[in-house]
Amino acid sequence: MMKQDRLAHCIGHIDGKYIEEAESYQKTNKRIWRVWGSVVACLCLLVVGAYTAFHPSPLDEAGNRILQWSPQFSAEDYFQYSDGENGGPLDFFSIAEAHYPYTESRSFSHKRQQLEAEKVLPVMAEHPLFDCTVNYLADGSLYSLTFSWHNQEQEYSDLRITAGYQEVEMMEDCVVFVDEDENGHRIAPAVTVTKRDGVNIVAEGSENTKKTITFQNSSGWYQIEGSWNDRYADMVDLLDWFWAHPIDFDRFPVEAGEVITDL
Amino acid sequence: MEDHKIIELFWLRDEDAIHQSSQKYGRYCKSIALRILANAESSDECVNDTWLKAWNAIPPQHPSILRTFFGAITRNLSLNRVRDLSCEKRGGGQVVLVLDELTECMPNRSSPESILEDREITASIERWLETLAKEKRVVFICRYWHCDRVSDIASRMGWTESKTNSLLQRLRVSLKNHLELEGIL
Repeated sequence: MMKQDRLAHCIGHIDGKYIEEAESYQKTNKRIWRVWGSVVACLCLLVVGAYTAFHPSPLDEAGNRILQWSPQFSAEDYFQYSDGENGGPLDFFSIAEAHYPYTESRSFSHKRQQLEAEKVLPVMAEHPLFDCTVNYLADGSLYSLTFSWHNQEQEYSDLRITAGYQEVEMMEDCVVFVDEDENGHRIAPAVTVTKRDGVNIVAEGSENTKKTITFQNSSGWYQIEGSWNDRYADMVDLLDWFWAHPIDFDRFPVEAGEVITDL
Repeated sequence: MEDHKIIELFWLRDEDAIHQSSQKYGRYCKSIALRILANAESSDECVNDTWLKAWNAIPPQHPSILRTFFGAITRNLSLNRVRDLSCEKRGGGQVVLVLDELTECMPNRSSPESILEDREITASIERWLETLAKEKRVVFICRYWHCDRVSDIASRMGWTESKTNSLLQRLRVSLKNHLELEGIL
């Protein structure tokens, strides 16, 4: 085997999680994009806006586009129109990976046990790896925070929730990615919208793909992300948790976080 | 069909495993082969060979991520085909460029090439990848796993080609230093 072939061969056998990561990675300013207004109040509105742009009437002729939540609602129900059969895939918008105007980030990863004990976070014993990063604006106020749980062993999992309470500012860069067909026509995104306690919950993704659940309630806006290998139920467990345990953002003052050193 | 069911079919030696794999991941594998070979016919052959390789590998293997498991087989088969056919022109010379770039990281050596050694090298590369910021890791994988063009990576990341080339250069140096540090080189 030639020498360079050997290294290429070895790279070819690296763990699939790296390939998965590279394939699902996306920046915010790529592909075809549309600016949704000059200023949009928050991402949740943005996502719902994307939905309503393609479905001017929240209840279409079939009358089942916006689902009504009930206690019997299953995890699969949240994603029942998100499988792509009802439209093209929406190119996922990840708040966590977007470039927003925060100026400082601090880590609270070391406080996992405390946050679990105080029921800020669910106990997720099957996810040994945990990260909590909080982002602050120049005035020191909290802009967004991200909790992420990983399991990189046999049952790969990468769950994350990003949340905040302030209006998402400087939305000039806030874009929604849409697919276009060969004639340049937009393909409606495949999303499922569920109304729960008066709040619209937008779900995207399906089995074997990245998945997101986005919503805004009185406590703030939230986006839950799951990897291709995470189940609908994993996502909805997090949704239910933060529905019942809204984040108290005052728990994360900048001075309490650990300074993050750049790798 | 869900992945675990496809894997079960492989374990049961049910040939439907190949049909289901092809149906679910055929396009994905072909996209990988096409990037390397830039030839539809050869790509189809590599994808077909992928199922055979998988058939021979499962069991005993039990892939945790079936999609990338198939993808890795297709990639390596495609690279082998480029080498065997000496078809440098295929893929716009991209594969040759990628392989040449990697030479910087691993110069020739005389020690015996064994599967064990290769596993050590792969593990070392994974440890190095873990030290990188996500964005850099993605760029490295795009270039050296997927054999993407630098211009395509730059476009995807929203960078200039110059910046992308510069980062790739630094990554190669970093990988080489890491391999030296771990005694691979």
